[in-house]
This record gives sequence, structure tokens and C-alpha cells, in this order.
Amino acid sequence: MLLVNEYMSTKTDVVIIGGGPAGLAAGIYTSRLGLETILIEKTALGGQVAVSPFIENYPGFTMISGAELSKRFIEHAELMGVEFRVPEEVIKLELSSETKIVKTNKDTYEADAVIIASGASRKKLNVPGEKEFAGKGVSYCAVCDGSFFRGKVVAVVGGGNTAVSEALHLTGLVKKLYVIHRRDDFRAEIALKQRLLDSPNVTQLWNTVVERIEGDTTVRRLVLRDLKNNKQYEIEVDGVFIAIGYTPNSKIAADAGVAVDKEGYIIVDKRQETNIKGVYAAGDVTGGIMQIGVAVGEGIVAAMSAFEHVTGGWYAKKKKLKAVRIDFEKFKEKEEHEKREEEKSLFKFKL
Amino acid sequence: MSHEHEHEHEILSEEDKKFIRDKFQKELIHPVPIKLLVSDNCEYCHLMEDLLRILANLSDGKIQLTVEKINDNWKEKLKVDKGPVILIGENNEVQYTGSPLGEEGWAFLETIVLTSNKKHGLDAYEGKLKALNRKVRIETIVTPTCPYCPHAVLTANRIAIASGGKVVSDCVEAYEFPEIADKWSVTAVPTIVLSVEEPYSGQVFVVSVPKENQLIDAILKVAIGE
Repeated sequence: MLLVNEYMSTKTDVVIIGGGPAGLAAGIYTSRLGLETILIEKTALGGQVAVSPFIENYPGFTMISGAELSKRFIEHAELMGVEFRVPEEVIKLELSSETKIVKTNKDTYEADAVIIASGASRKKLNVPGEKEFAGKGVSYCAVCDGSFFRGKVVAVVGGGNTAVSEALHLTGLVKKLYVIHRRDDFRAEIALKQRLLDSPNVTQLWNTVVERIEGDTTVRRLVLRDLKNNKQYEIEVDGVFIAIGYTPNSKIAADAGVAVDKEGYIIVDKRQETNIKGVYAAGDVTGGIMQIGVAVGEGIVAAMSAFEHVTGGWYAKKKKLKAVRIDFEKFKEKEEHEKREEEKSLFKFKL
Repeated sequence: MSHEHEHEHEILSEEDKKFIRDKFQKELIHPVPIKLLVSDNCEYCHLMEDLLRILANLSDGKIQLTVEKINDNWKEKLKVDKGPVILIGENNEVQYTGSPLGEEGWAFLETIVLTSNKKHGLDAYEGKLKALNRKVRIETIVTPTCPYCPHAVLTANRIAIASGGKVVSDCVEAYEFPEIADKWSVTAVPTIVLSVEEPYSGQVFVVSVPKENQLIDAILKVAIGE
């Protein structure tokens, strides 16, 4: 009797989970090294960068919008031959055998190595009203939603680079902006912090936490507590943007036996390898310093380590690599196009 | 005015045109009727008309474009009184209320292709959707700077295409149509509203990108009045 599998799985050399800077950088490297690379992203390519209002600390770019930088990463990975599966969601990993199995809502993949670059999501405040008013004044993306609050009174909660960048983006739009932080100083870079402190329509509320978000059909006020004198008070706002940090997207990996620390970040060694051979992790999902440059660097290390694992090392020739031919004509066209295009295109026709 | 300034420039670069022409050549099968509804005092109507004419030219006759003024009939039918409104498909099953600018561009292009080749990927649900006893309207409220939004819009559009006209997917650009965003108290995008067409009432289903099966389940429930 012929046994037929329920489904045919897709075979590849490397599967990368996550399409932010770490995953895209890893993909650029594995593709150039001749490994067949499939990158799976559950929502939109680009990761957190895609919704960063602006970036001023990525070397080579004094000032670039997150949307533009992520677009460049995506185009670069595509040109190098990374195959994107978007939107597709990984639902289960089986990592214990030599062949790693990645199951998604659409397909099953078999790979010799897996790079987990699934990033981190915005932490919730977990206060009453947050869930109820999500999308009704509570937001987690200033770039997406900022313009709904033109001329209005808004609060940003948080004190890191993300909170201060989002606050700076909003200062140009809103009438008045409160920045609520539980400490007495921002953790953000001084270059960002100073600009925010100099903005005329910003009021800092130090040593303050949000206890409740209240309103009717939309958010109307925040109930706050001053931690210094333990007094509760209210401020009237039309909206609140929450940027109090991140929580790692590591549950599926952890369920498959990948070791995580007590906060859920994936534990890796210097080669970005996890506790499971052939499984690597890079970027925000590994915690530590969450910066685009760090994510890119970790993605590259993970890619090189995966390459060594899959091929047995540079000269082992354990595996026949696919011929890599990059379409440099396309490169040239693109460069010329970029020279011509002085202002940002009105339409974005590529994913 | 920045709009006029932008309009002096080419709407699409030669590189974009080549990309679109190649894509259309490879992927368009059946003709795609597109209606553009315009009105006076409409900031983006001319831009949309120019864009759609270029796309039609790149489609080797597959895109059948007509441009109409929004008359009382359309006003009554669509509950909007200004343009631009773009209707795609035999049954006008996909609607763009406002321009597919910024991040929406790629999903708009993909929608044209899917309307033509019907490769919506929802074969398992097609029967159920076509058998709906009431028309369901999905409104996805978006902004041009939201990278997640086109994914929600494309999911809704695919459902509309698979339903053969039983479901209408309407992508609403919040800055051009603030009155619609306000009607649903939208302050974050994408916000998805589901309505049954007769009577015209609805409710916010979700503020995020839903999975296709979640959205389809919700549509089936709305249609039977749950």
C-alpha cells in the first residue's frame, strides 16, 4: 500500500521566522552564501522599525524614517533571493531532530536550520480601561494613528527611546502632550530627550503611573498616581499612547524546547545558537540592547552560524550550495532610480 | 499647495511602471472592471484618475476603466457624497473610499490582480460565502502611514472576491473621510467594521489585522443576525 502524506511539506535550507531587521539581515547573508532561505512573517515585513517615526542612530543615515529604512532592508533581502511568506503565522515548531519542522497556518516547512527573529511586542499597561478603549483613544503606534489626534490633548506613557521618539512625532501634531513616566528622568538617549524637553507643548509628569483609563465612547481622562506623595489625580486627555517596553514573542519557540530566561527572552551563545543545535535566535527576541544595529549584527552572526551548521563549515562541502547570481542590472536600475527620485513616492507598490 | 506640486512630478517612476507592467502581464487573466467616482472639490480625484489611467494602460486592455461623477444614485447607494471612490469587480465587490495612498498601494495592486485571476486562496470558504442570505459589508478604516493596514484590507478584499458579491469590502482612508472614521470613533487603525446592508447598521469587529478564518466566522455570524 502506498502511504501518502496528508500534505506535502516545503523543503529548504534555512527558515527564518520574523521579518524585522534581524530576520532580514540574516536572510541577506544566508541567501548570499547560497542557502535556500524562506522568511516567514505573520503581519508586515519591517518589524518595529516600520513604525518608528524616525531613526537617527543607524550608521550611515543621519535621519531616516523607519518606513524608509525598513523598505530598504526588505528590497535588499528580496534582491538577494530571500523568499518571503507574508502574512503567514508559525503555529508549531518541531526542533529536536536534525531536520527542523516549521508548521504555519498555510504550509509545513522542513529545514536544516531555523533562525528565530520573531521580535518583541509592545507591553500592555494592564490597567482598567486599556482593553476597553483600545482603538478608542488607546494606541500603540504613533506613526499609524497620530493624525487622529491633531490639535488634541494626548499622553504618552513611558520613558525609553520608543516613548520619547513617539512623543516627538506627536508634538508636531497635538495641542498639548503629557509624557508620563514612573521615574524622575527618561532612559532615552540625551539627543532625543533634550529635544522633547525643549518642545513648548510638552509637560512631563515624573514619578507618575497610570492607574485607570476612563471615558465614554472614547478616552476622556487618565487617573494617575504621583509616586512621591502617593496622591491620586486626574488629567483630561483625548488619547494615550503606550510605550512602556516590550515582551518577547518567544512562546512557540519555548513550547518547542528552546530555553528562555525568566522574562521569556531566548537564551543564545556567542554564535546566536540556542540550546538546540541548528536553531538560532537574533534580535529583540533575545533581549539585551534592542537597537536596529544590534538586531542586524545578531542576524548576521546567526546566519553565519547557520551556514556552518548546514554546510559543515567553509570547506567541508557537506552540501551542494545553489548558484547565487544577483541581478546587478536590477541593482543599477535601482540606484539610478534612487538618484532620480528626490522625494518620497506617493505610492508604494511593492510589499 | 503640495498636492499641485506633487502632481507636476510623474505619478509613477519608470521602474514602478516596469514592475507593474510585468506583474500585470504575468498575473492578469480576466478583464477587471474599475469605476472611479469623482466629485467637485475633491483633492485626490484628479490624481486617482491619472493613476488609474496609467494602470489601465499598463494592463494591455484588461483593466476596463470608467470615470463617473457621483450622482444622487451613487450617493444613496454608497452613502458618500464626494470622491474619490473606486469600485472594483463585476459586482463592485471591492470599494476604496478615498485614495489607496502610501502603504495601501501594494494591496490595491494585488486586489486588481486577484479580481482578475480569482486566486483568492479561500476555496474552502467560497461555498459558504456565496450562500450568505444577506449582504455583508466590511469597512476597513486605514491611514496611509500604517504598514499593518494593507494586510487587513487585502484579507477583507479576498473575502469579498471569493464571495461573488455577497460581501463588499470597503477600504476607507480616514484622513480623506474623517466623517466615516468619526462615525465609528476610530482613533487607531486598522479598524474593521462589519454591517449587514439592509438595514444599514454595523459594529466594530476588531482593531487589528484579523486572521482570515476569524473574519469569515464573524461575517457568517453577522449575516445570520447573531
